[in-house]
Amino acid sequence: MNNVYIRSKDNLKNIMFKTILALIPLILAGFYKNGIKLYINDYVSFYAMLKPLIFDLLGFIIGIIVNIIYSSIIKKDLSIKESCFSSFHPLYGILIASIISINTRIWLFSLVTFIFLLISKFINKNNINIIALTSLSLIFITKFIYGFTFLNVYEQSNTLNLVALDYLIGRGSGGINTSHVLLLAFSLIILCNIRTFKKEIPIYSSATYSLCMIVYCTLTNQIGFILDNIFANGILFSFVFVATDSLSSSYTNKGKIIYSIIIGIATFGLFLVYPPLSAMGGILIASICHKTIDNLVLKNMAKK
Amino acid sequence: MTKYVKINKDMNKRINKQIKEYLSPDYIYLPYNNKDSLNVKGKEEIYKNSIVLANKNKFVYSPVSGTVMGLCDNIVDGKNQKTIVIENNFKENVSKSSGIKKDPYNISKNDLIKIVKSYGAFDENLNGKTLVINGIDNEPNEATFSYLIEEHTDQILEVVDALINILDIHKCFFAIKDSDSNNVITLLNQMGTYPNIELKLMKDYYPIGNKDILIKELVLNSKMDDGVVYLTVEDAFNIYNVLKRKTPITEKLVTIGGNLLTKSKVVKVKIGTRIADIVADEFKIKKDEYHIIINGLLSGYEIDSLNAIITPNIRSIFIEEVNTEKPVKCINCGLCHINCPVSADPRYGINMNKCIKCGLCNYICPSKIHLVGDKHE
Repeated sequence: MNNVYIRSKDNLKNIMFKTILALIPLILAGFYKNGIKLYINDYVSFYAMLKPLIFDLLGFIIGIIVNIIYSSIIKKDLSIKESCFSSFHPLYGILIASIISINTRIWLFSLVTFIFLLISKFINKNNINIIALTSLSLIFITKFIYGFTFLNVYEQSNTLNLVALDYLIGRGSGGINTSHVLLLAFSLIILCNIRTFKKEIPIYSSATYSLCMIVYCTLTNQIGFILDNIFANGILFSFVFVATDSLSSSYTNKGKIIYSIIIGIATFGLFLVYPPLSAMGGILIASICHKTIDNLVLKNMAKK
Repeated sequence: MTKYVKINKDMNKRINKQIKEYLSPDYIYLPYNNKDSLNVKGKEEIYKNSIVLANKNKFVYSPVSGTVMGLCDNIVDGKNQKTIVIENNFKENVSKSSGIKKDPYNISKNDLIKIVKSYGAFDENLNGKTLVINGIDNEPNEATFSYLIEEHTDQILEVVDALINILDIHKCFFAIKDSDSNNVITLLNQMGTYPNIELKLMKDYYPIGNKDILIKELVLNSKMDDGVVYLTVEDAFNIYNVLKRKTPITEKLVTIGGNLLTKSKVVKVKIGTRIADIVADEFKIKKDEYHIIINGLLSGYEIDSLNAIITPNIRSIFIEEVNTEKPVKCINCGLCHINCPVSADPRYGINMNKCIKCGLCNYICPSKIHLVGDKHE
């Protein structure tokens, strides 16, 4: 026995569902932008209209299946009901679905997501960001098989001159559920009420990335592209939902700041190479370093 | 420091508004060590407040008058120990006082230390220039100190004021929670009479009732070197009783509650009363299987049976159905480290030498991992 006789009400399951709750406005916005709007304008069939929701649902189910498989092999003491939400993988599934392009094939998404999530359960001991890794892999595979773009059929068929307000209300290009900046801000407010949410990460990474981008665009006389470079490609969404994955991010106060700055700088660097993979690549690089960052901060703290 | 955590304390809403007295137990059990010299013989009649055991300058007094029956085993502060059994005759015959001066507060510091130690009122450091009076219960589900202040405000303030003179204190802080509204009002009304005492209203976060944390919050680092005298309101009230009423400490307040009791109560009991007797007479346990937790649900310890006795170290008793959520893999959220009042990291053993065993890391962990603590350390 030990001296633990009272526990807080927070547990993995309710943290995950609160995060999904914060995602719902963005999921609905993504459904409108990549489904309803295309169907109304006769760009897609009724079935294709449901595609954004199918991705989200599939991601969620794949996460649950991975948890059940893992529990049946490793954690045999858990019942099927307990194992469904024994880790954040169902949430990871939805997040991967949110980040990828609407043009991704459903079978490809399902296969890659299932394989990566399952393997990560067994071998991801260094806790690198599996959402970023899976999304990056999907972007690469898609690019090599049939060419990659974040634009949906409507955006591909029309020339859009976007102003700041357009990005705020979700008209910019990006992943399925990542475009609506105003709703993202609303989601961030919800997320800040979750005790485990590392709110410093989106703040510092967005600030670092934006600063780099403002300086770069000013020096290269591309001031008109600043907003596009910041708001498009689901970069802010990734900073809010993906970079804050607790397993693969720093947890010490100073560590979170360093981790965020690395994300901001790496994202900017990769943006110059290939914009669609910038945020995911930046987060992946930072997540590889997150343990080292925390260790250094803790060693420093212990010395004091 | 502002990183304290609010704890779920539904139990407090169910505490009886008045202190319940349980002062006539059939038997009293006093812990006995081989090192103690026994002042009584078998089957001897003894008076209330007479010395039963002595060890150097420390004495154990009988809380009741009655007959010494012999020895038996009981749980004393979490460990099995022999106890002297006294059968209560309910006459409350009192032995003569050992004689203290008429003006109770006109004594030297050395005399004060000697008296409070011999009467079992206080046994720690009384040297320092800053006096901290803690009126905040150590754990959120305890209400002992709060009830004690409510019941004995005048006496506590009187003795604190006297201690400031006797101990030559330069600064005195009286800390209570800002949410303890009844006591805040009462103390604010009375503070005018005691200009030397500074009332400090502390935010209701855990573990503000902890000695080290409270001192750190109240006393400037530059003043720490001059020494800090720390007393709980219970210590202060005990000193008052010893000095003013000339009686040893044989009674105390204990919070008794838990999710398996219909009502929580603050009970005034004789030291040496068996917990089983109090629970049988005053409470009803809802289930046959329960856990008995002593001194708080966050930092307390569990005992195996109710055959434990009330000692001066016991503040609270909880009869609980313990949360049995299974631990899962750590999610690296860092809440244990970020919320730690001493900035320790229990996962990697950083700064664990500073750990005050408040149990906050265990409480807050969403993965339900047991990070710090063991059975009765």
